[in-house]
Amino acid sequence: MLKIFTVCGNGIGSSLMLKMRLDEICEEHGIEADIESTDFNSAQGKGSDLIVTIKELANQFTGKKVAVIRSYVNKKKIEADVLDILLEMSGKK
Amino acid sequence: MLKDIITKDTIRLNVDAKDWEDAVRIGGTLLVNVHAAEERYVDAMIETVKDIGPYIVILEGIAMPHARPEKGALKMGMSLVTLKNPIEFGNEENDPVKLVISFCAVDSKTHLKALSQLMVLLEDEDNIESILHSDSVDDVIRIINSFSK
Repeated sequence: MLKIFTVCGNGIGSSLMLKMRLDEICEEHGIEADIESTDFNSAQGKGSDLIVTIKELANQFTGKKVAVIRSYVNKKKIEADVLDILLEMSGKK
Repeated sequence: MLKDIITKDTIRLNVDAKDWEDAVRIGGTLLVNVHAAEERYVDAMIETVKDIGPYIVILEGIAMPHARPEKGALKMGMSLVTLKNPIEFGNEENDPVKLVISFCAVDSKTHLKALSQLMVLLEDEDNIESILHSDSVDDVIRIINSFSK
């Protein structure tokens, strides 16, 4: 089971929409993941296997595995940006 | 439910905004008017964009300004503003913005249902086009209702 944080500036809007998208993508590809939306500080402070966020926030994380997405909502773009990483991490590739 | 949150009081069509800040302020003020947020929440929405960037332009032509709950959100609220003239927010991928959906929430759970209904609506390009070309609040409410089940 992968522990994933989706992160935006506030932790209540964009990151929540991204979480819903990632839930769908993981389910469709049989990837077991516990996905939580949160803000930057919480994600930096807690343990996770992967953080998914936009590039503006990605390079502010230290010592974390981070995947960068171009859109919080567009499923095609999200899938193109993170599916390979998720499959690899869950041992499906 | 989405239709309980976006109502005739929080819809404004063909608004003449002079820049992105103005557009966010117009959307935010609608939230203040229905007592969903305090005035300072509107400032926080603008600060978020200045701090982190125009990532609130989440899809082509669509911006969703918001701020943290503790910045003055009083309850769940959402407003819908269509812009007379498209506005640049500085988001290379999704500019210019024609539709501004501002929202506020008191936590990350209670608005989940409305937000997921909104996501389905936003993905439907035909409906977005209808909303953008509409002069009638009633028509927009009809579209919203059809996604609020």
